[in-house]
Amino acid sequence: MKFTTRQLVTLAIFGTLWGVVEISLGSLLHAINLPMSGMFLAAVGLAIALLGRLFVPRRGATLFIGVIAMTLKLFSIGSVVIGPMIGILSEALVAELVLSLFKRPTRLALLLAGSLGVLWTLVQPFVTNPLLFGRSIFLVWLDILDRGAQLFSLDPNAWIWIVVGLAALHLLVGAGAGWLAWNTGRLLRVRMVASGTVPLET
Amino acid sequence: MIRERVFQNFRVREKREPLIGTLGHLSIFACSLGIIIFSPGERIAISSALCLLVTLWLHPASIRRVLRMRLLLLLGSLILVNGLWVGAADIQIGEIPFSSLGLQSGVQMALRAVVILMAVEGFSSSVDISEIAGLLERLGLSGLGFSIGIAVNLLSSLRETSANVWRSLYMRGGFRQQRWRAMQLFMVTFMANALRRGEEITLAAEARAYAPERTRALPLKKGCLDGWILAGGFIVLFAFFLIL
Repeated sequence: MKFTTRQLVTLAIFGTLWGVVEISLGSLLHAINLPMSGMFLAAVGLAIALLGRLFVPRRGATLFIGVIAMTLKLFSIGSVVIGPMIGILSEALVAELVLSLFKRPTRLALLLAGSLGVLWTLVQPFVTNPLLFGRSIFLVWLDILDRGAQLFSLDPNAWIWIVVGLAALHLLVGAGAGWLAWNTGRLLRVRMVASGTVPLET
Repeated sequence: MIRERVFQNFRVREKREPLIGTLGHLSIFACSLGIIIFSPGERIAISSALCLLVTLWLHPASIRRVLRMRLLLLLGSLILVNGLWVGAADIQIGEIPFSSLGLQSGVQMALRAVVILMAVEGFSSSVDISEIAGLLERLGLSGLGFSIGIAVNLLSSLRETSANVWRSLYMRGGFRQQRWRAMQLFMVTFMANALRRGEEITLAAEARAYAPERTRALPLKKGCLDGWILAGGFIVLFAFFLIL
């Protein structure tokens, strides 16, 4: 993973933006205990990281942005940081893996990367809770079913519909993040060309 | 004669190597996480006591994070919820029936959370951000130190830019109608400003002849006990795996 000076600076900018979102918005959402705050944060963070990938279309760029955001989060003043840190890194890794399948970052690649990256927030508790806190997978499953049942006003016994609904919601929000990244990237490019600043590596 | 004296003074003022360096702190952190993650429920008390003792000895200030009211309430509710709803109720505290299995599982989860929190707090308070960057650079992310340096310095500048853009849009009535469009304009203006600032930083770095391929990784703080701590960490982890 070798980047030029310009690419490193661009990655630093997008990493900082993701870090700022995690530090400020993340702490706020955590404090008010908003449901699905993880999904919302992941969508915003991934939109920034995918936008960064449009400006540095090279392998490893999304992961690099995630590592910068994670490091900033580690040194932020907040409460529990290990969960969000693992979350940031794994979301960036998932997005990176998806984007690596495409030669260039296209709209479809961004939509897919956003969708799967946000979907990871649904899967992550099954990995981190048993590993870090010794919580059984069954309890995590019940917790997710409970949250889903409340969100969709469904009976907790209709687990298939809850899971399908939650997965669809995550995929949709993630696709929205990818779409937002693509559109903002295009707008930015137009704006920067018009103002005489050459966009970086587009 | 004068030169000799100057040299002697210089030697007296020479900084002593710290006892624990970056590698030592990382070993302690990794060892604490390893022990607590892989300990089975019945041994969690011993494991967490060992980890907490080491963390408290090395980073006494890390206890402050755990003693916050919000976190204590969270941990308390974790134990309570487990005691009330996990497993069959077999004991009674006051008028309320509790499950001993649930309470036990809650206490184990709370202990794990405390150890991890204190380990993270101790590690982040004793290791500098540039040392983390140096560590990650050695893992293949070259240029990360440079990027993290920029990121840390950009934090305040980005905050200022976002406030200025927001105020400008707000003063012109940007959010009165077409809020979505206003948000998009806010994002584009903010990002364009950030990228322009990035361009300035790139030019400044290149003017100073910075090139990522010619840069050495950021130095790590070395400690006299680092090797011993690393070896000790391995032995303790290995011993734990053997006992388990």
